[in-house]
Amino acid sequence: MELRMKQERLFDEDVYTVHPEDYRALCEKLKAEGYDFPRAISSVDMGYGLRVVLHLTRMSDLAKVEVRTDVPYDDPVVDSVTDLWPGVEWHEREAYDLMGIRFRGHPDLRRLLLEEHWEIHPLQKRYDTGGYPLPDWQPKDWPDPAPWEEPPPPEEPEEKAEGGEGE
Amino acid sequence: MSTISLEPVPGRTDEMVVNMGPQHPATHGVLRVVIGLEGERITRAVPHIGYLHRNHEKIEEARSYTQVIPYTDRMDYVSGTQNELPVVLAVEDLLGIEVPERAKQIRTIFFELFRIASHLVWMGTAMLDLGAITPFLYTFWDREIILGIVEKTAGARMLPNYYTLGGVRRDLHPDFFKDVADFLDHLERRMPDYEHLVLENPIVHARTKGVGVLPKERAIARGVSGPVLRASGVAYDVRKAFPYDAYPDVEFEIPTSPDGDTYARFWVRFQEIYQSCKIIRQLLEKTPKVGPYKGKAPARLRVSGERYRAVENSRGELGVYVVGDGTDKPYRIKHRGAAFGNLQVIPDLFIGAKFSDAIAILSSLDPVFGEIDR
Repeated sequence: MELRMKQERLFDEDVYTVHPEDYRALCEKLKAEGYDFPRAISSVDMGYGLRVVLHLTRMSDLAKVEVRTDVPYDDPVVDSVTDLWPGVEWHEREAYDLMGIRFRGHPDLRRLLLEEHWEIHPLQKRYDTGGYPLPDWQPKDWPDPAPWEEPPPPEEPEEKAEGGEGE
Repeated sequence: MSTISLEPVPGRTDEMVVNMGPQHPATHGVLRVVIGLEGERITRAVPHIGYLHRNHEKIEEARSYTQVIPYTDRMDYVSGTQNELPVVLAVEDLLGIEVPERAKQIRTIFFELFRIASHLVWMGTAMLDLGAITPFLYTFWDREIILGIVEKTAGARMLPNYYTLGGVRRDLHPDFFKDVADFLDHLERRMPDYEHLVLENPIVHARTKGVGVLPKERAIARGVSGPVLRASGVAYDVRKAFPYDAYPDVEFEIPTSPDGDTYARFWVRFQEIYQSCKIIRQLLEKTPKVGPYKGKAPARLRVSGERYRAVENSRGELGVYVVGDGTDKPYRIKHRGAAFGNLQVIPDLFIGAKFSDAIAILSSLDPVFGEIDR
């Protein structure tokens, strides 16, 4: 099956931006390629949706990759990769706790840092630093082309460094 | 953080559930572990963190990059300037700021001084957990000398806010080179005493050898780093793997141990103190007495792009993921705590161990909760 994804090279890392449904398949492929050390999972509120960024290293030759995937606000679900790398267990819980991304198949997806009864996910941009909703916050439209699609080559070649994220 | 307790296993009446922490003196801060006990053996262990959570990451989104640096100091508060470096390196990468050679060397000397300071604190508190009070008093005495050296140059002791984009904030104090050389001489005289008190101590042997073994493959998959990973036989050190600052120019070794037990983690930290002394001695020779200490950084920062940078902190890989949106404030900063990654192995190490060994295992992980809870 062809994975819906885009590959680029930023600094010394290979960066894959992938469709959320293919995230798990790409991770399985990377695991088979020998990426064995999970460094971290970051989460970013992109304004149009939430982004998961998985940082991996291969111990044998110290190659680094970054896997990015964007999910919409109303259904922020990606597949968990805890069974591939048990070390991401707390990182996924942290991303769920603070950013509200739900990891399908995570063995124990509870809040990690905040209290269980907390209602909001404070790192989302719709909340201010006090944790209150911002009254005039509105989500942006999804970028076109989507983040995992290659931008059309003829126009604006200098967009390459930005990755066509449409920020 | 969660209020749940452990549910009893159906049909098991011999298990006792014990709550360790968050106010337990041997949890190095505010860690709570709910432990299921069968006699002296631990059958289940569920760690809860978050008692010190301040959400630095959200606060930092409302600060400029120069204002972010002092916040990072408050993460791993026993290793001072080490926390500032990932943010500084990531922003320097994104802006293409050149750092003068001398500034890199100064940064590296401070980095290694704080590694020694942090390992001395670890040594004292780990022995305190095992019941020995004297090493704690000795190591804090020596750490005080490091903090005095840092204070003379940076102006503050524990949270110096010393690194900045393009170099360091102030030039070295005139006494710096002599003070550091004197301190290293002093420390090298003290290290045999410490080895005698800790590594050669028969009580430490009895409490730590063969206790809490973390196999190599499990250590990698669990994402642990730093001395915990190297004690399991993996020679992964960010200073060698992805060198930064002056590390490419100095010679040092990565001490590893194949055992993976609590004693191996103790031993690796001791060897790291020796390696840090070696690095600082080389840099004291190389670093010019006068010269630039700060490169040119733009007055108005316009940072765009994403960058993950990591450094080898005293506890392991301390990373940061910076997302810039073209302004002087970070759009998103994510901190990857070194001890945060290491603390995840608590269930792996605790289950099957004796309850009293849990304290020794925990002290060998050397958690600092300012960084884990952020």
